[in-house]
Amino acid sequence: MKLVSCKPIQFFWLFLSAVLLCSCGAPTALTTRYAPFHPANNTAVNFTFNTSDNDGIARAELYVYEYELYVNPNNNMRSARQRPGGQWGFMEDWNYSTEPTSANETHSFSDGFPAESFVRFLVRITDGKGRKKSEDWYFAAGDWPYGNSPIPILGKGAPAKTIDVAFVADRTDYSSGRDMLPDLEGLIFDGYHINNAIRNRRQLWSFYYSPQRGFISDYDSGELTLDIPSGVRNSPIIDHAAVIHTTVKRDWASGGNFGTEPTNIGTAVHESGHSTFDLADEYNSGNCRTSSDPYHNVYDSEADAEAYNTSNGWPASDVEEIFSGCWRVEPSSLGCIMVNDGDATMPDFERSCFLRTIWYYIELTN
Amino acid sequence: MKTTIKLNKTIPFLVVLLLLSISAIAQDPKGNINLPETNDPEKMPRDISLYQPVPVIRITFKATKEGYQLVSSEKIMGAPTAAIVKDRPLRITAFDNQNKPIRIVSKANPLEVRTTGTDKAGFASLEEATITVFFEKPEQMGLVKIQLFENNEPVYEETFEVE
Repeated sequence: MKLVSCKPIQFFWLFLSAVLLCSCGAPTALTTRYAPFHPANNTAVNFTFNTSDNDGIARAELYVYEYELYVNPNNNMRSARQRPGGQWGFMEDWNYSTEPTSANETHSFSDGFPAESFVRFLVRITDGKGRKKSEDWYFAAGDWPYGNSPIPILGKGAPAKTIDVAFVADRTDYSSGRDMLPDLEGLIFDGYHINNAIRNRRQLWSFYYSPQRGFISDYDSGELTLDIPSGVRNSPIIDHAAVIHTTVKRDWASGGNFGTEPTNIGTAVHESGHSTFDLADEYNSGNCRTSSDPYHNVYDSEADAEAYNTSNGWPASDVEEIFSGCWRVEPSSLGCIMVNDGDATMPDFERSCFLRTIWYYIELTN
Repeated sequence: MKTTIKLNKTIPFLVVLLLLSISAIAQDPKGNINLPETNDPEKMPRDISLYQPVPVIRITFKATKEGYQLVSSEKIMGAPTAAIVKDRPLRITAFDNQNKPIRIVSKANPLEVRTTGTDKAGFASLEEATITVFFEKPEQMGLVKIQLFENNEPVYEETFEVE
């Protein structure tokens, strides 16, 4: 964060904030992943972590918990319970006598999981000063017992407290929903999870895929068809859907759902920026509307945009005209993802957009 | 976060800074919302619900350029539609039996089509679309009002009785 000018009291608050943010010590960086997504019955699963810590890595532990899916007869809820005789708890550990500042390991669980499994895995890192940090996720494995409802491939929180995204395989390119899964690993782990407004809150995003395929037409084809399968469309937990295709199309969005190639990670997150945070386009889209309140990024009034910047401590002169009758509150030179989606690269959410995402997360988790 | 901030006023900035600080500090505890704490591998719960559905009413509308039609309403177990963003163009308000508004859900205009990404912008309209929302406490539901806004001004409004 570069500060151009600052008053003494602001320095005090900045200092106080820095102390608060640093009071827990230098954090251990930790990311985890698994593959393949939605592993088939008894198929080997690789669990991977990547960690770094300036105080050194002393130990890493992998825990895996195998549940069986069932419908609880007492409340008719889809539930998961420990599978008798299944994998439960400690699976592997790595002890580093030299305490390197980074480590990257993969453990292959060759037995995999049987049909109707629900798996949680947890990686815990102990740094050179004995501090611990962990990350855990859940996913479905083996035959899915709940028909065409979206299948969880990576999640952590309860759906009411997370942003739930369903991926739908375009029948143009995929023979089944499962056929799409290898393409989603990069889209999630090397896409959504690297964005600046998501990576530190990635546990608030849950990803699913539809066992049924769908379709999105090419915008330039002259036909506008967006087929979201009923299992997703009628799902009470899915917030928005993305139709995934590998054939290059001019994609479009409607009703919060959109289409994209899986390699266009910036496009996917830009569109989720619309669907989730309701941020507006900061480029010349030819259609202007004042973005959602609070923490705007676009106004249809220059005076309103300037007043917004002033009230938030930003220069009124930062307001830029996008096209006649439409203004962005942050300069395009910041390179916000809502100005340029980056296609296969991942721009950041900048300034006002970033604050909008934080506001949304706070509302979501309150 | 590569952000350039020029500070002109103290109080608004402090509010923003406080928001950022609270968010950063609160991040870890929020991570396990509604799921048992998992930092201790020995305390992993042995029986969990994938999610805890509540009684909701699922209401489906058909949208055309002429307006909106109520297609179906059904009481099921599920989760209410998120209502964090309240000022999207399509706003659906649920009223209780005493005509008191109990929840507002806002959605994108389902007929509006725009190209994705930030190149070659294009806009179009669908002939028709369906939209589904979920409201909790279906036993209290009386009416549902659907409104379409353009430039924050209502351009369409219709009220439906749901059962």
